[in-house]
Amino acid sequence: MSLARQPVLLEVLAYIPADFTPCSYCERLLDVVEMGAPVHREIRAAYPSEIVEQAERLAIWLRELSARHGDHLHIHVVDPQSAMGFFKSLRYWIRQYPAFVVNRRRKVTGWNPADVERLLVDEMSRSGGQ
Amino acid sequence: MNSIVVLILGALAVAVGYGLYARYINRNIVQPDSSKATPAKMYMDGVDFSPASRNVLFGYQFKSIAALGPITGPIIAVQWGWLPALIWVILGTFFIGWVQDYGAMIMGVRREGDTMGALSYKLISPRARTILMLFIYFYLLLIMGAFGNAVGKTLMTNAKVPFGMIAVVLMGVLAGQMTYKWKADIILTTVVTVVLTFVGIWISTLPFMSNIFSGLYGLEEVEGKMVSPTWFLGNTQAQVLGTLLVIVFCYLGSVLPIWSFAQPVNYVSFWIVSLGVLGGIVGLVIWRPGMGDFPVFTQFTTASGPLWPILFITIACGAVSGWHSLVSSSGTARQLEKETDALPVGGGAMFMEMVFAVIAFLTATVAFGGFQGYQDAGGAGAALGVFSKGLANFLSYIGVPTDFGVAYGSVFLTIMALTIMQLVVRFMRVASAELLGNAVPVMKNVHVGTTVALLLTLLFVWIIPWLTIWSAFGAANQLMAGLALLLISLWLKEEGRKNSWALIPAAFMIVTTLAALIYLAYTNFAKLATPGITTQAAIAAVLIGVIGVVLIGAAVFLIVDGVKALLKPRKEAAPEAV
Repeated sequence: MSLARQPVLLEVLAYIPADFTPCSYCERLLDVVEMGAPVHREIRAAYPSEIVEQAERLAIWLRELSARHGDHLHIHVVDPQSAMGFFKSLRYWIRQYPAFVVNRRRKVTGWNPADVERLLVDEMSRSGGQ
Repeated sequence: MNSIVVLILGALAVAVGYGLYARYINRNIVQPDSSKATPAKMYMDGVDFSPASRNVLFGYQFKSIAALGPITGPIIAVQWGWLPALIWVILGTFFIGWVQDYGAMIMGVRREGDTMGALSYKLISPRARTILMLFIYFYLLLIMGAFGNAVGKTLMTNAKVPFGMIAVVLMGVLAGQMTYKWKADIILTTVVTVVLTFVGIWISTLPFMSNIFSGLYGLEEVEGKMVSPTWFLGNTQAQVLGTLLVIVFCYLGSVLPIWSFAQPVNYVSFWIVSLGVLGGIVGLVIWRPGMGDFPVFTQFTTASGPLWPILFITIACGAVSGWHSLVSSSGTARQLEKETDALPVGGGAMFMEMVFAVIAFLTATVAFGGFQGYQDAGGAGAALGVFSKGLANFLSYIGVPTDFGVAYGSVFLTIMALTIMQLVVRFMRVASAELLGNAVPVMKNVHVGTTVALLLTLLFVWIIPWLTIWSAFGAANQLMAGLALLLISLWLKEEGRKNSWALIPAAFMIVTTLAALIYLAYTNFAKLATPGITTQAAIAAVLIGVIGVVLIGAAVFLIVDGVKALLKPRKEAAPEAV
C-alpha cells in the first residue's frame, strides 16, 4: 500500500524567459485594451535563443515527468533571478543552471535528465512507491 | 504623538477592520463557498487562469497594489496637518479600501473572471466600457507625468544622486550579461552587482563626483542653498537635465530587450529597495521619535486645495485606490484556488498596504522633528524628496551617513518609478504602432514610437506643476474606485445580497471625486483670466482643465447609467459583451 507515501519533491532552478511584469497596473491596462499579446510576444522573442530553447526542452520534459508520476511527484520551478532563486542557490550551493534538487537533499546540476530521473526513481522506491 | 503610538493605531485598525468587520461581511453577507469551482479551476489555461496558493497570491496582490502611491499620497497630504491624513488612511482602508479590493475580487470570481471592461458593459451599460478606455488613456499620460516629474525634477536634481542611479543601471546591465550571456551563477552575480551598486551610491556622494554634476547643473550656492539657473518653461537647468536623464533610462528600457536591461536592473533594485526598507524600519524602532511641533491640523485650504474633496484624491493607494480593482477583478480573481481565499488575499493585502502608507506618513511627520523640517525637506511639492530624506534620518540611527542615506533613498525611489515608466512607454509604443501603424507607417518604428511617447511625457513633466498633476492623477484613480464600488453594489443586488456596505462607499467616492474634478477644472480655467499669465502656465491650465472636464463627463455618464442599473428590477437580462 502506498497510501501514506509522501510525494517526492523536485525543485528546478532554471532561467525562464518569462514575461517581465514589474507593474501589474500596466499588465491590467494591457489586458483591458487587449494590447498584452503584442507586448509579451516582443518580450519573449528578444531572449537569447539558447535560453528559450533550453526552457522549452525543460518544459516538455517536466510535462512528461508530471504525466508519468502524477501526484507522486511535486515539481517546483524557480527562476534563479528572484529572491527565492537566490536563497535556494545559496542553500544548495548551486553555481550552474538548470539545476535539480530532489527531496531537498540530492542535486544534479546542468542538463542531465537521465541522472535526475535515476534520482527520482531511487527516492520513490525509498518512500515505498513505484 | 509618538511614532510607536501611530504604529499601534495602525495595528489596531488591522485587527478590528480585518479581524471583525471584514470577516463579518465575508461570513454573513458574501458567504464564500470553498467547495465551489473558481474560474482558475474551471478555465485553467496556465496563463491567465491558473490556481495558486493564497500565500503566493497575497504577495502577488500586494506587489501589484503597492508602488509609489502609498508613499507619495500621505507625504503630500500631511500639508493639512497629520490628523486628517492619518484618519483618511486608517478609516479609508477600514470602510472603503478593503471593501473595493475584496469586493472586486469575489465579484470577479463569481462572474467567471470577467475583466472590468466586460463587467461594466454587462452590469452598467455598453458605453461604460468606452468610458473606461478613455479613462485609461488619460491615466497613462498622468502616470508618466506624475512619476517623471517627481523623479526628474526633484530627486535627480540633487548632485549627489545621479551617479548612484547610473551605477544601478550599469550594474543591472552587468547582471543581465552575467546571467544570460556569461552563465555566471546567481550568487556571484548578486554579490558583485549589489556590492558595486552600493559602492556607486557611495561614490555619488563624494565631492569629486557631486562637483561634476553640480557643474553640469550649473548649481551655485545662494544664501546657503544650491540654486540652478532657470533654462526654459520655468524649469531649472538641473530639472531639465535631471528629467532628460530619466527619459534616457526610459528610452533604453523601452527599446532594449527586457532580459538585458529592465529585468536585471529590477533584480538588482530589489535588493537595494529591500535592504533600505529593512534598515529604515530598524532605525525607526531604535529612534522612536515623536511628532514634535508637527500640527494636528494646519488649515482647510492649502496649496493643493480644500481638504474636502482634495485630500481624498491626494491619498489614493494606502486608503482606497481604483486601480486595485483592476488587479483584483481580472488579475487575482483568475488565480484564486478557493472563494474563501478572497478575503485574506484581497482584504489582507489592502490592510498591509495601509501599514505601508502609515510608515510613509511617519517619514514625513516624525523624521524631521516638526513641520518646519518637513517644509525644509521639500514639503508637499517634493514628496519623494521628503521620503528619501526621512529614510536617511531613520538609517542614520543604524550608523548610515546622512549623505549616503539621501542618495540611497533617492536611488531606490527613482528605480521604483522607472520600472513602471519603462513598461508604460513600451506599451505606448506598441499601442501607437498598432493603432496608427497603417495610417502612419513610421509609427511602427521602435525608436519613433518611443520618442513620441517620451515627448508627450516631457510635455506633461516640464509644463504641469507637480501638485496639479498629482491631483489629476488621483482624481482619475478615485473615479475608477467609484465605478468599481458601484459595480460591486450592482453585482450584490443582482445576487440578492445586502449592498449598503459597498453602495455607501461608492456614493462617497463618486460625489467626492466629482467635487474634486469640478474644483480642478474650475480653478485651472480660472487661471486663464489671471493678468500676465505665462504661456507655460496657460498651457498647463488648459491641459488639466480639459482632463478635468473629460473626467467629469465620464463620471456623469457612469452615475446616470449606474443609477438606472440600480433601479432596474433584479435579474433583468443584461446585454452580452461583443
